[in-house]
This record gives sequence, structure tokens and C-alpha cells, in this order.
Amino acid sequence: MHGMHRNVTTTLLKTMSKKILLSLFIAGILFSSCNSTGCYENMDVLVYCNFYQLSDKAAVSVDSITVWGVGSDSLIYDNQTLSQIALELNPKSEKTQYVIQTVQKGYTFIDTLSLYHTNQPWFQSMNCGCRVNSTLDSCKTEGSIIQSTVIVNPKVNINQTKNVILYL
Amino acid sequence: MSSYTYKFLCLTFLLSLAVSASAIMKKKEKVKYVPLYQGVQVGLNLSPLQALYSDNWSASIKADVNLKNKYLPTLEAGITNFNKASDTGIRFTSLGKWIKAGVNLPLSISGKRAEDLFFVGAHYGFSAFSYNLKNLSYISNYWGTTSPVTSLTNEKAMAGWLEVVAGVRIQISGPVSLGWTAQYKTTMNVSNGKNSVPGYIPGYGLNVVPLPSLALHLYYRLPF
Repeated sequence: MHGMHRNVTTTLLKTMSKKILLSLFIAGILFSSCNSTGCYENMDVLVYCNFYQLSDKAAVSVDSITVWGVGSDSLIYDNQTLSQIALELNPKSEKTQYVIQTVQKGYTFIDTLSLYHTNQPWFQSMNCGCRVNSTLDSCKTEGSIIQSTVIVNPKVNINQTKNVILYL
Repeated sequence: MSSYTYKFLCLTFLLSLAVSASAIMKKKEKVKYVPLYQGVQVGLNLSPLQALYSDNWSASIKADVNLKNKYLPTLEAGITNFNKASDTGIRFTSLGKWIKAGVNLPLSISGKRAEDLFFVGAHYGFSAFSYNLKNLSYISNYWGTTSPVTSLTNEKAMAGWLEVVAGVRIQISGPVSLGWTAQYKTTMNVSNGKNSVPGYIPGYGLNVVPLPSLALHLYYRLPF
């Protein structure tokens, strides 16, 4: 009985067309090549702040910009010409502050940008782990560079490109 | 077009070639009258055996109706238990139910009622489930490595997915058959939890696209 079933299996396989066997062979290659390990997703959550001229509401670039976080020694930007700065919010706090400095005609101008936000943890995948998305509640500045600020998009996650306008 | 999409389209095209080749083969055979109803096979997934040595297991029961030895509409319902840990120690746990429906097309058969067959098919699966996450780890940023929230409980999600399958079923003895099915799966729609993307989907597996897998079933042909 067992031999009869083996013969049936052999007959079944022999009757397959060459095209079906080719399909199986290529399908096997596809199966073996589909390994999904490692994190391939963007996990950088940034607040994008753009510089605009208050007079004509036009985007501008500011030279000699240096930016660092209040309470940190690390520079985010060091003496660069920028029209936009991308900043990371503190996920352990609902308030994050940055110092923005520029040197113009030998004079140093400093501003402190304060961002108030609500944090939301987000689990992305087993390979990537978690990130923290945020929602901007308000922002204010103290200093001589930035005249006013406007939040154009309060959602701070991986898909945004413009969140705050800094009017000079 | 991503490489995964390209490979999925290639597989679909090749399977359609196989179906057309089979159709040409069948045209050359002498036409025989085959009744519409050719029986029902009930299958039991052999994955529950994993429960003997693992916290991850799946149990399901499926049924397919043989129509004229040409079409096998199938329905499968199951339950899956996940207890998985990532390389960084994140723990995902879930116990969820799922259901799949579709049709298989025999490409090559043997026996009056297709007791032995090689088939291809397409199925749609769906699951609504809840899950828990523990030992959450976060990427490091300018302000250091943080862990503001270390666990998420009772996250609720839903998912629908498409499977393209190919398999074999062989009669072992009397009404009992054994078969394997290779599955090439892709999610069609995933409704995420409140604070997370589900890491695993019951009935589907790891939430990545595409996802190949293999299923083993023990079948019993009903006596009517």
C-alpha cells in the first residue's frame, strides 16, 4: 500500500510541466531572498524650524548660526549658513530649550527658543523599537534675533518637514 | 518600484504561467464528465505541536470543497499565541483569532476525486486582536537614551492580508491525507494600536512585507 502511494506521488510529480517546475524553482529563490532583519525605517523625530523675514514673509538664510541645547555641551549646528534648523525634543520633558547664536558684523546675537510639547511614545517594530512623537503646544523666544514665532504644524514625527516659522 | 513589489509581481506572473500551462495540458485530455460536488476535506494545522516546546504556537482548522476537480474554495479559522522577544529585549505577547478564505486551483491531480493534487491559490486573511509590549527600548537622541514608557498593554489592532499559495496534498490511507502549503503573504491594510504598530499579526506572522511561510496540514475527507 505504501509503495502504491509512493508511485502515485512520483507520477504526480512527473506529470508537471516544465513551466510549473520553473515557477517552483523561481518561487524558491524568491522565498529564500526575502529576509527582513534589521531596522530599515526612519526613526528620526525632528522639529523643523524655518527662518523667515518678518517684513515680506519670505524665507531667508542666516549665516554664522550656532545652535545648542540648554543644559548640553554638544553643538547641534556650528557656525553654518542655514535657512532651516532641525531639532530633537527632549522626550523626558514637556519643555525643550535651545540657544540660537549668530555673529553679524563682529557682534554676537543670542536667542533662547523654548518649545512646549506633549510627548507620545510610539512602538514602530520589533527590529526598530520605539521612538517618541510629540505635539507642539506653544513656543516662545527671548533674545535679539527672532521677532516672533508661528507653529504651522504642531505634529512632530518622522513625516514632517516644517513645524515652526521663526520671523527675523 | 521596490524590490519586494517587483518580486511579488514576478511570482504572480509565473504562477499565472503555470495555471495556463496546466489548462493547455488538460485540453489535450479526453473530456470526462465530473460531477460538481466532489467532497469536502477538513484539515488540521500541525503547528500546535510547537506548544510542546515553545510559547509560540498556532492552531487552525480548514475545510475545502472540491468542485468538479477544478475549484477548491477554502475556509480556515484559527488561533495564534505569540510570546516573542526582539534582540533588544522587547517582549511582544498576544493571543488572537483569525480567519482566511480563498480558492485553490488544482494544477495536477490524481484520483477520481483529486485525492492527490498539486495546487495554487489565493486567500484573504483577517484578524482583530489585542497585544502587549514590555521592556520597550528607545533610540538614543541628542538628549540621551531614554525610556519614558516601558510597557504598553491591551493595544488593539486589525489586519487584512493577501496570500498566494502553492501546495501538495497526498492521500496517506483511506480518507486521511497529508499536505504542505507554501505561502507568500503581504498585508493589505493594518489598523495600528493607539501607541504602536503590531509587531506580529495572528494568522500572518511577523508584521513585515512580504512574508513567506510554510504550513503543514493533516486532512480527513468527509464521508459524504
